Amino acid sequence: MKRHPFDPWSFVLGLLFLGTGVTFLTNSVDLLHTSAARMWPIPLLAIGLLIVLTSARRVKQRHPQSATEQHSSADAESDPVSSAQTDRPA
Amino acid sequence: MAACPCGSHDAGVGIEEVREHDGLRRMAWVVVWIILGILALVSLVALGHVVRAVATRLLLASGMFSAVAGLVRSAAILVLLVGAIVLPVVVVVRLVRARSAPPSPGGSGALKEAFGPPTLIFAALLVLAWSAIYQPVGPLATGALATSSPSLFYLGLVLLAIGIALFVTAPRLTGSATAVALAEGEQGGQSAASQQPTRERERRERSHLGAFTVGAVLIIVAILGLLGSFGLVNIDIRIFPALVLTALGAGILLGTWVGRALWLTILCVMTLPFVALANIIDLPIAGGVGSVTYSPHTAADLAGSYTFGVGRMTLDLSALKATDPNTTVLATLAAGDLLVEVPSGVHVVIDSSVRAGQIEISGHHAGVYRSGLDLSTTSTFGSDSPGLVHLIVHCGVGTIRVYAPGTTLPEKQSSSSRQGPKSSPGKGKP
Repeated sequence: MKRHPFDPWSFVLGLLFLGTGVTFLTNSVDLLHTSAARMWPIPLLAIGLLIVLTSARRVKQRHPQSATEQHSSADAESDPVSSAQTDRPA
Repeated sequence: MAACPCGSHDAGVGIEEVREHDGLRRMAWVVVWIILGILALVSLVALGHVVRAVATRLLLASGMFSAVAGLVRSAAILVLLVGAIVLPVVVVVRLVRARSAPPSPGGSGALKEAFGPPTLIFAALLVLAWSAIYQPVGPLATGALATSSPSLFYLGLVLLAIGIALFVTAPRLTGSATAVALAEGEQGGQSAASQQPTRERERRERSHLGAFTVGAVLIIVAILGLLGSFGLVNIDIRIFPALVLTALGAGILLGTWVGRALWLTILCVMTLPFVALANIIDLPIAGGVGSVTYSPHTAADLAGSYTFGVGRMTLDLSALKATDPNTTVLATLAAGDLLVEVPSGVHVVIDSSVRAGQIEISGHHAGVYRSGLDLSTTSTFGSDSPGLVHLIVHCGVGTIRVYAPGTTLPEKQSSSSRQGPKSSPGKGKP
């Protein structure tokens, strides 16, 4: 399987389900005696994490493109000089 | 070149014509789906009535009716829970995906993405659950059938099968336009039309992470099950849903960096009700699955405790005579229906408790009916009679029904002539 860019959906959902599974696996929660009022931060956290990670990914995707463009243009400008220098007989 | 089913395409067809054709094809398919859905519902309802009649008679003749009805109801409740959660999730996820994905020439619109075959499958699951819980009226609504409907359960199964069939065949049906566009691109050198589907095909390259995860889950569960069955480790079956959820979650999490397995989310959501159920059940699921009846006749027959796993457990004490004072009996059921018939002429105190479900006490004053979570009630019968039986009845998830003197168990009402040998006459599990 190929490695691909960071996927926020997989990260958040995977973390959510993995955490839920481990919580129930260790029997550290009793659903009947757990009030919904205490659980509200969890979906909020998941949504917030998703938004932050998605935004971060977009920013990361934009910046390498511009950086690559800058590098390529800089290389294009510098290459003839460097190649001319290297081609110059000693 | 791939031939279009309509026969209207040739090598020189333009991109605009292809797109227009695909739009018309899409609309036609929507209309066809709607018509087929209505026809399927109407014909299947009719078929369901026929199946109900046949199945009811077969089950009554084989004597398995009450056990099957109980299982059908339990399964239907679970399916309803799963469907009610999964359906909106699937619709929302597919809508989001359809909106974020670039439009493809032969592709699927947001509507079709959101209400595609997987959604139909889950809608069918909902229909299945609702129909199985539905209480039918009429000549066939007798006994246990009044609490569940096997025929409508089968109707739901048929709907489910159709949904799966649609799911399997849909890619071939809806993918034809994309294939046409691809072929056009290859033959005619139409770069704009060809690059888009090619990119989409590359983008949708299948990942094996999901399959690996599912395989790993099955292997883990199987190994633990084998170890437990051989007595090498003490495995409580209630841990399996949480274990499956954990493993699936790990698979999805792995997809953050390697492969893609977001579809496992559907499996995770389907697992959640089972995880919740396993958490609510506070008894080990042991002692068996199905239906069992204990009917002690004398105080000597009366065991100290009666335990059963999942299904229907009947404690028929109607034939019990006066016992020694302060006899305590414990009856526990992990999930299902626990029925107790109280003897007449004996002082009986029953402490009933249910983690989630119902407690019904018939014939006791005005009768007691309670439904909800963490229920408990105490009932006293024949306080002026000799002897004392203190009965502690506990059920994890399900229903406790106590039949006071003067009322009888439904099995006796519906099939008094089929009262033959019971599965465990006289003796309870110590």
